[in-house]
Amino acid sequence: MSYEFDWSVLWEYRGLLLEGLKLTLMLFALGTVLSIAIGAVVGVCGASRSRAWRVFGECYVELNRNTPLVVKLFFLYFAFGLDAYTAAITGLAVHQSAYMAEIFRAGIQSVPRGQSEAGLSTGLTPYRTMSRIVLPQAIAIVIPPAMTQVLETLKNSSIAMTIAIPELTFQTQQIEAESFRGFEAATAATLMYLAISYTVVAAISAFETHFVRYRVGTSDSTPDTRATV
Amino acid sequence: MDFQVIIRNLPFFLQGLQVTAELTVATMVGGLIFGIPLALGRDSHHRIPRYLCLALIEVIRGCPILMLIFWVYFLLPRVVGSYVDAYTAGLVALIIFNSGYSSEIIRAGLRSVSHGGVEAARSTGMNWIQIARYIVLPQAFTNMTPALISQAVLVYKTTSLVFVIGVIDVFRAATIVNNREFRSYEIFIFVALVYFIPSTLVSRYSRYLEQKRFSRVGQVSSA
Repeated sequence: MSYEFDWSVLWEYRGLLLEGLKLTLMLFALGTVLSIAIGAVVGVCGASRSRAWRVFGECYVELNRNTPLVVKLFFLYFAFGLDAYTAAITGLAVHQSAYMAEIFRAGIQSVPRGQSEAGLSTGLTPYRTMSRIVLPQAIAIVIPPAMTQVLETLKNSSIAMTIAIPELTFQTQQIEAESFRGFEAATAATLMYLAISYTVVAAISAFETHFVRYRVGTSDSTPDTRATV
Repeated sequence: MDFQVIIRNLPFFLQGLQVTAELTVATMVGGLIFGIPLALGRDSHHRIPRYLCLALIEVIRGCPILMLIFWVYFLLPRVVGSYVDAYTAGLVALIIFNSGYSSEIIRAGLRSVSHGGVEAARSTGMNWIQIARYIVLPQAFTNMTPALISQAVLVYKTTSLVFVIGVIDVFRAATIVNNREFRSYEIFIFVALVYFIPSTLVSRYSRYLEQKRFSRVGQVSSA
């Protein structure tokens, strides 16, 4: 290998990298919050007893899971004419929300029907039954696969670079263009992505051990480890 | 809406689609070839291969695929010492990406084979090749099939990202046509369908297989 590594370039271009990191964190945070919010609503639809809501939930999930995120971003940006930031956040949130919805739906349905029937028959309102009986039990099942999807949101935020959002991955290309040190830049960015991932995993695991109080039966459901590009 | 633009450019789109299909198949095959040693290493009794494979899988799965594509695109020419075209670089990146994910599927498949069966085979005097060939692999492969098919759907969608280094797959073809004809609605709806229709059909088939497997397992346990 005749290539000489020059890591000093990272210090020289630290401004670009930090700028990119900031945008990546912003996309990640917004994407996560929005995808969980939309996913929860669509997931409840998917688990609904009304056929119409179920069909709506299923169509939403299928439509979004079976098209690549980059196609959605280009559609929102070029065809729909949204500005790049709105397109990136909308695309990311909608794309990830489909996966979240599927996780919420499965989580809700994993709580035995008898639980909600018991809640309703003791006189709780449907809303109370959901918030006090079903969701606290579902959350234990939801957390591991949801965590995988949160990490996917982080990784997929890099696809926003294709519509010229100057986030972390975009900045590594910028550094390559200016200094031909793309490899060093990409290595640094990869380490940043991994560092964020591990922080998130640690935070969610801490949340899980402290706040999950109810577990349904023997929870041997394997977490969904699939990527979601 | 004027879908004439699709029909006019159909040969170009089909060329792109062929590239996408080639990349998908080659990535799946490559993922299996490199995923098997990774899976075996990950479950090895020796500490060094186990940690090495674990670290490799974690990095591959923790790193955005776009990053991986750029990484390979920059690094590969320096490793082999000559020019590497975008297609090769993209394919190598996709295979690395897919090996990481496939190895976890293979590992789960191998673990799903009960230890009792292996012990029974060993006590009847089979050697390890026979055990692998007649006992472990057939069961493991049946159990892995649904997950591998979902993975193929994922790979099909993921190939849309190699356009960033200039590979003319069906998505890049669409952006090229769009730059020339400015028919974004028609073109991107068409491309969305090109991904949506096969992905939906295949993932439904995978779910059907999974249900069939579960119902069979149910019958066995109740018998």
